[in-house]
Amino acid sequence: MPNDEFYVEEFLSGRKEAFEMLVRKYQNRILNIVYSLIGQDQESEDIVQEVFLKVYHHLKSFKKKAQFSTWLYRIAVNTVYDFLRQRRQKITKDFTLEKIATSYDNPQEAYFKKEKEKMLKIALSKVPLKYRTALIFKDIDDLSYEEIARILNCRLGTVESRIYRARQILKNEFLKLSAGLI
Amino acid sequence: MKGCKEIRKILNRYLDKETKEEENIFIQKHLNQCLQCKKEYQEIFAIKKMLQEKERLSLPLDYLVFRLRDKLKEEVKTKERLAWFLEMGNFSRRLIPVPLTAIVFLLLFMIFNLRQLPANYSVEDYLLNGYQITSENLIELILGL
Repeated sequence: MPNDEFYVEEFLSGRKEAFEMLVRKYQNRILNIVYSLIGQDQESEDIVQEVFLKVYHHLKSFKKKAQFSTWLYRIAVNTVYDFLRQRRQKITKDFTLEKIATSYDNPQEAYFKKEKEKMLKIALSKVPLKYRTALIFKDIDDLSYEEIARILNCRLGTVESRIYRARQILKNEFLKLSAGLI
Repeated sequence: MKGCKEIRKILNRYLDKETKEEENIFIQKHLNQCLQCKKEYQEIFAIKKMLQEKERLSLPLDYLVFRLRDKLKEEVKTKERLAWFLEMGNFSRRLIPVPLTAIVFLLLFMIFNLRQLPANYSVEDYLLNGYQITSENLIELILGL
């Protein structure tokens, strides 16, 4: 399968289908990062669309010093930050839509899974955005510290400390929420 | 051997497989001996696992592609419409001297003709002093000269 740089070159030479290949490749990864950051699935789709529109319009100015994926993630993060700044919303309290419904034989298991998802969503919302972003890149998209540092334009040590703090806050929040259930 | 404080500092890196081989050996050895650090490790491991197992959203393969195509078409149409308005605006701006010149000529024509023709009419037949109003007087009166 051709790499991203190939598709970028193809797009720049006038083949619009090459851009669509990149969209197909990255749409779910970007969607899940956006969704984890803002916690709203309906809004997430619109943000992902905005991200790819920005990519479409600015691909000409993409300097090939960085990898395409790094550049794309950076646009995604900035778009999410802009969105949150505009809306001044930290995270939704809407838990109604679940896109991928995992089927469980055991209804009890399904119930617990759903409860855990809700708690995780609330706990994540308590983590400051800067820390949350680093953690999501690590645990949702499994990027290396180095890649995260490049995307967030910071040092490796900063990424490490942000992930550490995010996990500490998440752990404490999760424990608080779990205690509330008992 | 490194103490708990040092181990805790790099525990997240160890969990994320970002530590060097020699660090891994130290950490594993420490975790086998220190219950508190082991507990800390298990907690952050559970947090990581929970995030990794978090529900994932998925879009149908061409869903976004179609949405983007529609959006881009819409953008092109909007641009075309805007370009048309801009073009019309430029065209109108280029035409501005035409009505202006016409107005100037019309005014000159009127003034010239009115000067030539003896007025056989007046706003009032006589002013207070009894002079007959000529067209010249009339224009001067209107313009306040």
